[in-house]
Amino acid sequence: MSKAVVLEQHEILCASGTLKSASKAIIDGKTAVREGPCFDYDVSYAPFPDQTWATLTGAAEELRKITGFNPDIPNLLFVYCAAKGDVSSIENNTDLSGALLHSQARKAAELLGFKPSRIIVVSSACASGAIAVQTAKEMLERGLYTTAAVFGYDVISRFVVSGFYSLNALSAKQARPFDKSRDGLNLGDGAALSIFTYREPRDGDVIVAGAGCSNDANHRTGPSRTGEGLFRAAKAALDDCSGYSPVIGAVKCHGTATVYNDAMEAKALALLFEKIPPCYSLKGAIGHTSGAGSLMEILLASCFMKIGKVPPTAGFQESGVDEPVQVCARGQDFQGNSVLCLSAGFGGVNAAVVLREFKA
Amino acid sequence: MSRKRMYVNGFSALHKSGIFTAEGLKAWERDQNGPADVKRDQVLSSPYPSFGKLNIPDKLAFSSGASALSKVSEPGGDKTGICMCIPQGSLSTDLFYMDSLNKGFPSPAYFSATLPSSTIADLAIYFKLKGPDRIICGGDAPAFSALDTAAYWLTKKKADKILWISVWEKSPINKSSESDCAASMFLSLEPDQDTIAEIILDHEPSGPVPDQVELNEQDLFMEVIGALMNKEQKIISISGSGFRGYISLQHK
Repeated sequence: MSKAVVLEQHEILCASGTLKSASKAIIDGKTAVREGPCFDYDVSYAPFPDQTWATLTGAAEELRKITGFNPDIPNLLFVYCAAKGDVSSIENNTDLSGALLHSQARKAAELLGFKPSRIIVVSSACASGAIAVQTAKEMLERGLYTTAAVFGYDVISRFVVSGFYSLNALSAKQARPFDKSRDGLNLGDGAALSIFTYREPRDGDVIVAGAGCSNDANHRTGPSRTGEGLFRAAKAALDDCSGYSPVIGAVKCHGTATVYNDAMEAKALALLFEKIPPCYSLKGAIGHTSGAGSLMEILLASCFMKIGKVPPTAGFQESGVDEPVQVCARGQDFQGNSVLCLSAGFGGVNAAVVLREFKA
Repeated sequence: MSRKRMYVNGFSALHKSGIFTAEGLKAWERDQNGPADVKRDQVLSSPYPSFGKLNIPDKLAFSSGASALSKVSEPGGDKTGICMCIPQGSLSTDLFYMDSLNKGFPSPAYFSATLPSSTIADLAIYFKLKGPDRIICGGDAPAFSALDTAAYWLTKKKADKILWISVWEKSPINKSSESDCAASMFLSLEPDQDTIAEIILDHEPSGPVPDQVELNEQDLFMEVIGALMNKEQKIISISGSGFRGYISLQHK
């Protein structure tokens, strides 16, 4: 049996709480999005239920406490991912070194109790988490490190809310991914920690079977109109799965609920599949948690695959895309052995990760 | 050890002393105060209206990358990727955006540039670089990590060609820090008609080292670019947090 990148341990913090409470709430079709105002803007948003998590220190300490893992891991790679991470020092005009992602990475590693052999900081906007998982996968497969910890953190701030508001990307209501009446996204708080190793998988393990990324080469902030960039990222991820024979039972879409993102994503899926598998987006349930969200959603997708469910897409009622995308309004059983997770971000970045449940 | 061979098909650097290219070092003009003042026609022969709107990190990345690609026969393609290191992230732009927000008029243009990944957007758009991207915003030896990723992707055929870029922006925190600098190399797994030099990257992980042991990557990679410009054979050793190894350059 050959080795694979195995997801050993993971935990998240989001508007619906931790992995256990959030996965249950999402399966039950509940939303943690609340109506604004948010920093004086008339937009809906998805904050942590416990605001002590809304600092880098608070999130890292909570994740360390609830996972209860032993941080004394030899030959550890620590990958930090965020779109903006902690911008409080910029907003408050205090020590600006705290706004540098590599300062945040060192602080997070220390708070989690890690003594990593190497730290890598990746920032690919809202695709950061998926790119961080890809980074960890590559480094483990090369045998450079025995364990990789991937940590993501992005929270709602005046800085980020005002920015997305200035781009007319936020909705005053709950986000409605792929819906006919979708009109924008909801920002959310998010943090996530995952531990990966490279070993022979056992029955029931979730492995990172494939990962890929691409650039639209089209626009600084807007998605491509053709979906061709995301298609190439997903194709690269599926091609990377050689030997794992993935049968895609669901697609965890980026599904921001902006008009152009969801239209682009539907086009990419139509290019990729003859028959598009059941699709879902988590943005209407827990908001869009930027770079951390991409990691958090991968970890939730793993959880849903393990329990054999495709969750409903909160906020979705009637399809508003031209392609025959089967967006799940209600939860359904998961048929297959793998889930395809899609992300996209500013700069034209697209990323895809394939998770597979291993059966001997 | 992790030994990888690549070929350099184009290179450039914007440094306080001038612009480094295969044609030699061109000093800044009198009215220019270093890399942040670079003009479009110094790095790109055709007009690019967006050039004037670029903020400093984007301008450094675009100019260095464009200059490295200027003599390359076919830079673009579905499998041409970008591996970029930008340790300061978008901090200088963050401050511009915050200033616009504090004045009551948050600028969407500044905000869209506060994501480090938007630094590669203009290069990707202009040269049609549609392959994989990796943006490394610090950690241990980030420029080396970006080069290492480029080598890995080429070896594994994830990309046919990679534009490696490193942007070291003058720190908005420490004003007396080193000046702005950016370096680029256009790399492939196999030599072609554009090939200038062969580059071998060899390294292995080392154990945890104290945080204060930092590799001066700007000096190291400017030595690499200088050797490329001067057609020198060179072996440059690397020893920093997380690994040790060397870069070996052999001119073609």
